[in-house]
Amino acid sequence: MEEHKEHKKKPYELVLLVLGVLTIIEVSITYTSIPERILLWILIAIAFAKANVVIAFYMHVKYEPKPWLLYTLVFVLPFALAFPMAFFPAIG
Amino acid sequence: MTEEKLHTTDHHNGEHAEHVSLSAPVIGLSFAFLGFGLLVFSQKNFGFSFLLLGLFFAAIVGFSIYEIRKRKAHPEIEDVEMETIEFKQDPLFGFMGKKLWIWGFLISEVIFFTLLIGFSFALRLAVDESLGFKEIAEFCGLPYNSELFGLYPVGWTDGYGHGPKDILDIPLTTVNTFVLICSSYTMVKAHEAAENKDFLGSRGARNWLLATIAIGSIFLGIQVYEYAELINEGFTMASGLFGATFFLQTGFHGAHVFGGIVLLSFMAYKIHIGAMRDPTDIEIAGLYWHFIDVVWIMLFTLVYLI
Repeated sequence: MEEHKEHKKKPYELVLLVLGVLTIIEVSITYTSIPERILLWILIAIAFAKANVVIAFYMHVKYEPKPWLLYTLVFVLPFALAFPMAFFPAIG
Repeated sequence: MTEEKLHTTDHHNGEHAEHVSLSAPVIGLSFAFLGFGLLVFSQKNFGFSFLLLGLFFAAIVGFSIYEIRKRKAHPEIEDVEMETIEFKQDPLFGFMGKKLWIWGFLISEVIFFTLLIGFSFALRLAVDESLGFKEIAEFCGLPYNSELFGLYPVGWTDGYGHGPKDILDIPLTTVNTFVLICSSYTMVKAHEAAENKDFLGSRGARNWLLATIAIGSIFLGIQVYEYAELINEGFTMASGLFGATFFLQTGFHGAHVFGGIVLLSFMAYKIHIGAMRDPTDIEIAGLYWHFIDVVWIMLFTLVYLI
């Protein structure tokens, strides 16, 4: 039974370092002269990368059985996006 | 319940998680029907939306009947679970385990924050010409609310021409962002310690939880200080769309952090008195805490940096 419990040491310290470095990069580039309309997409890409790192490693999605990934990404994401979209006619 | 038995329970849950390959997509698909049903309903296509909503209810009811029948056919599964955790006696939801419940809750939170942040950012795209959405909308043939744009000719400011970079303290918030990321690290270490059955040691789950509570409180303290400074300078919820959406988004996030601190304090106490020894409980609290972190990562970029 015990050998099932043994697992590789997870890289939590490395993840913390990566998140810190990405945050510094993110803040630093806002002080550059990159036009805002380009900066917007760069910052969103970095934010998504950081969020994915947290979800994958700290929320253990990377270590979950595959159906969980399928469940979360393939089905829940469209639902999560469709719901707010229902309200968008109020703006556009 | 002994530690050994809890260990067995955990394994049992793990085995069940491997068996949810059919049920999980069914639930997910049914919720996709619900989402698109609501979307179609908002477009006033009532016939199609009722069809989609009907499919949602049919999938949920059909799935429930299937699970109850399966449970009756395999009572031995239930016998094992009845010895473990009380709510697992439920023939409908028992097989799902605790983690599916928290993911269900987090899905509702994803919807809530996607709506809140998405709506606020859509407003900003509509009034802030510098982000170039007007050109993108025209190029793609998307509707662009020029009327709203006309209402706020000063763009995304407090009404006096001051934008996010003029008003908000970016260096302070950068430090605060890193503080919250550190709290995610201590939270995941608490779960790791619990998995190693170290609850009360110096590097045990209780102490890691206390560290998370302390760091989370520092985050909230800095946020309160930031609010006080902003309000003193005259930046309030009444300071245009920017002020309203800023306090709405960060306020709701702060309330979630506060809720998380209360939850973790309760858990640290239960661990201290020996009433909590299941690592899954700490993992569940951790999922909520990390989710708050993810929300802040998006807010920091969309509210402060852009």
